[in-house]
Amino acid sequence: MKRQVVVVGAGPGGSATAFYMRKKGLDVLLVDKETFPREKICGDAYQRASLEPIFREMGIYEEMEKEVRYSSKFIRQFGPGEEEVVFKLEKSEWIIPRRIGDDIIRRAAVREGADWLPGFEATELIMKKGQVKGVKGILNNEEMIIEADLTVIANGSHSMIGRQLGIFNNDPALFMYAIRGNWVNVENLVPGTSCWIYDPDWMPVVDQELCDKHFYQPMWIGCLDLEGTKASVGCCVSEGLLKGHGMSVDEYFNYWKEHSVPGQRYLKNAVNIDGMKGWRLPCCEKIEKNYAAGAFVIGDAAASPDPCYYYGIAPAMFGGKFAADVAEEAFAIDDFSEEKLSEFHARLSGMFDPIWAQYVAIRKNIVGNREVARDLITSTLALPEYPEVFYGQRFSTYMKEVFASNAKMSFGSHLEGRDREGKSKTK
Amino acid sequence: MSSGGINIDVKEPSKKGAANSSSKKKQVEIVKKDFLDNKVVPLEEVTAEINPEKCINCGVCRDNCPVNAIAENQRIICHSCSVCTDKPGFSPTRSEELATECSCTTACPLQLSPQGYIGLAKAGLYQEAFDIIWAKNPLPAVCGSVCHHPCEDACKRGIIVDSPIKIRDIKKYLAVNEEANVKKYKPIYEETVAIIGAGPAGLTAGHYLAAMGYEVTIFEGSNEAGGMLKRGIPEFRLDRGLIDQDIKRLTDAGLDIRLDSRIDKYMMEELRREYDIVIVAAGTPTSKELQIPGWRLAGVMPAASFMQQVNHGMQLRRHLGQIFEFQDGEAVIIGGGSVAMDAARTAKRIGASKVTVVSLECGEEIPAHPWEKAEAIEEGIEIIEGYSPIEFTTDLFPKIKGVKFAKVTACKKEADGKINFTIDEADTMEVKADWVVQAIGQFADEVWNNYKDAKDVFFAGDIASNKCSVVDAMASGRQAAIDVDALLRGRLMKNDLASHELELAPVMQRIYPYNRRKVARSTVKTLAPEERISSFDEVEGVLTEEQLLTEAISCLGCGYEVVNSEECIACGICQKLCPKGDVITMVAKGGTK
Repeated sequence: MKRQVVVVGAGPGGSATAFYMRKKGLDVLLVDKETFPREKICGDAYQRASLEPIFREMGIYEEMEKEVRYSSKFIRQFGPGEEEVVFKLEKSEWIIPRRIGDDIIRRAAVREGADWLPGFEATELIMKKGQVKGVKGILNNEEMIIEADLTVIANGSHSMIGRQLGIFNNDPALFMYAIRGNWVNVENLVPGTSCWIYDPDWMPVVDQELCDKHFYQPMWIGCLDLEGTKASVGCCVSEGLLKGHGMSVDEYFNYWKEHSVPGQRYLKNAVNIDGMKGWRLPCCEKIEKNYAAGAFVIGDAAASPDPCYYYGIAPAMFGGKFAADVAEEAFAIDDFSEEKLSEFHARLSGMFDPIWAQYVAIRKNIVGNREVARDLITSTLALPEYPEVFYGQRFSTYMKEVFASNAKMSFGSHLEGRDREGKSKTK
Repeated sequence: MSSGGINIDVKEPSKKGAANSSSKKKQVEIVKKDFLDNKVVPLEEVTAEINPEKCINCGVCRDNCPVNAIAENQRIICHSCSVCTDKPGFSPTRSEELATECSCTTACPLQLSPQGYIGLAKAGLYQEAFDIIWAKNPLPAVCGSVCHHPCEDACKRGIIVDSPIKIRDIKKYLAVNEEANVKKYKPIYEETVAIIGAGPAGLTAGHYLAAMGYEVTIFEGSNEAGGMLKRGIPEFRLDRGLIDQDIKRLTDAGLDIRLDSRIDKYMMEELRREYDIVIVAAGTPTSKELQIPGWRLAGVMPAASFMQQVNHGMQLRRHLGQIFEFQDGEAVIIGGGSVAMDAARTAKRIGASKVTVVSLECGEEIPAHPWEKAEAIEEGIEIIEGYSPIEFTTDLFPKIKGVKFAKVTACKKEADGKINFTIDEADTMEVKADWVVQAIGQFADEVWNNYKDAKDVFFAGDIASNKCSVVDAMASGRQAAIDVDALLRGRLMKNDLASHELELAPVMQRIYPYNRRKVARSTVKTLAPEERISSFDEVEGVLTEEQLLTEAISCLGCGYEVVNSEECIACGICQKLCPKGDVITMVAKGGTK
């Protein structure tokens, strides 16, 4: 089979790519190893603030809105100890089960005319003279070859075909173990509020250097329904940090639940009803190389989630949009060289790198620093307009204030000079 | 050509060598020419490199590397998501520990690499896969049926993902393949070796020594080769045709097995005069018997003679002239090991109305493998744990009526295999018995004790160790063969016998089982319990070819070999011996990048 474009993986990133490429009039085959709708373990948050324009372009905004299970309007932030503050979100975040939301996005691509082939498991890229020429895989237990001028690799954080190109994040500082489960009897919940908990004090610091390197305290709790005691609770911890502690994520989580102020505040009597389920979560501090001759790599496969809150859907779907723009030009001049396709990276990183740099700064300077975390909370509480304080806005102004007064802090990445394996480049 | 020396292409040494045949000295300066950038690299700067994506971890290069520069690396298996695994674990530290704890190769007492032959079988190379097995395991069909498969217990797929690859069944499939043939042994050395006993240990020692190039003669006391495989293991566990198939392969390859040649004290002296080395692999043919009151009653039998008599279709008797009837009777088996389970299942098959196994040990301490116990229970055999016999009772001498047992209060196994235990004589029970089999261990003939210190006599098999499984006996035979070779040749070798160390593969090689095909795992056809107990047909069948491929494709390929470029001397042996062929290349040290 020979196609113009084959998109491997029909999650939000792959489906958006297929949609926008169809819009440009290209011949697109969208494949996935699953049949849709399919389950996906994840935080279930669609970041509406960024995604709204894409949803509207794809014509699925209203459909998505109908499926919103719960809309997160506030974010409660814990500091070290007892401090807490509630921010308003500029735009509420949508919690939609991935099973439903992803399928709506995929159907938009199919409506636009992308051919849909479920049950095809991509196993290997077809390479000719260093150029990707399609993908080999298995359909109904038989090997199948799909040749294509352009191959889009969007099959998630485990992507072995991405690894074939050397694009795969294994850096222990930026590869997270995430777990999540549904809990009942959660106390002190406020409807419409998600919690981010930054509390560096609860855990004995085993290795300060290690803790400086890693996002130290990523815990989140989200209400699932308005009845009050049911919540989705989870955490993600970097592999390097777990290794440093010699712990597993669930041990880490349980330790937090038993020993921290917010853990006791929310989960003292809470019961997990469906087991804690885990997933792999790679992220980046700036958009990494996500192209090769004849191929784009989209979303988690290119480790594009942000380095602080781990939102992955926005960079994946925007990736699809930019990839389609570059693909149109590439088909017009019939040039699929690495150089041509690198424009995709330039456009995507042009949009996301400044935001990601800010996230890195938040992670490094606020989350890992109890003095600053405490100061952020107390100064926010002291603002005359509180509680009418917006989350993003407050963080940006606060960052500016802090950076103006404290020369030691910088926006630069502390992981500079590290390769994707997490090893130091200067040896 | 550079001015530094004569450039000899390593790929075509003969051509250039012919042109320069007069000078031997110059051959030392062999250099490798890098074809891509036409650069000349001196040999010291060349190293072998193994492609991890293509390597199937068969271990041939590692075993044959003269400087021990090749190590087995084990990949970490990520198992944090429930989509990848049925047994999620969220600890990166634990994942790393699991990777280097064991591999199927280090678990095998023969150091045979299952991943290697599975990899070749997956590619349809059945003969090559068989060759890998045959090089280290001369009884593949037998092991394919009765090995207690430590490799499957070590299989990472079983530990981390779902259930282990059915390595034993794959081996059986490859071994029963009629088309797989073996190469004839080539005698190289003058030294001769005599082996006493054609059981698993003797045959293995013979195979290894013959393959090394020695002239080997095996002397077997009975009229058939196989030893305990034929005498001890019941037919329903091991098809007799499979033993014969393995032995035929050995004789086809040129192994000299002399039947009906019982070696006694006098013959032994003659053997020592005629042969350079004698390996005693005569086994432990005699059963221990508890000499408690009533042990001479008719109907009390030692396990070894019981199994031998049933396996050969003989009339059951304790000794000449004493024949007793057992049909419809109730049988009691004393002991808790594999032999006791075999004896119990055999008793059921020859018509005992009720079979009870009484063991000294309790629960997990029972020496029989869990699946043996489970199969026995499936077939309706009762197992009583924690009792020791104190008397065989009778009311009509010499016929046995029952066995009196006392409760075991404490039981401890010593390092040498002996069991220390105490009983409570007040707490007793009696089990009705029309006949009794004592399966409490076996011992060797005393005559061999005289040779313990002799330099030219080696021991292998049950006689040399207290481990009593088939594959352990074979490993002991292999050890004897390697010891003999080292003595005769004065070899200074790396320790082939010690299980090698595993190294941790870099994170980039991490395996995500998610991306492997999820396949419905196959099950070998087994007979139903009701069918089993009425016949001696082998309970377990053979995989179909489709099932074989399904199993092979499920192998995660955790291991691969890595060359330490610092130690590599670029001799090229690994490249030459690699059964897959496309795995090893010679490159400049420090990489070509």
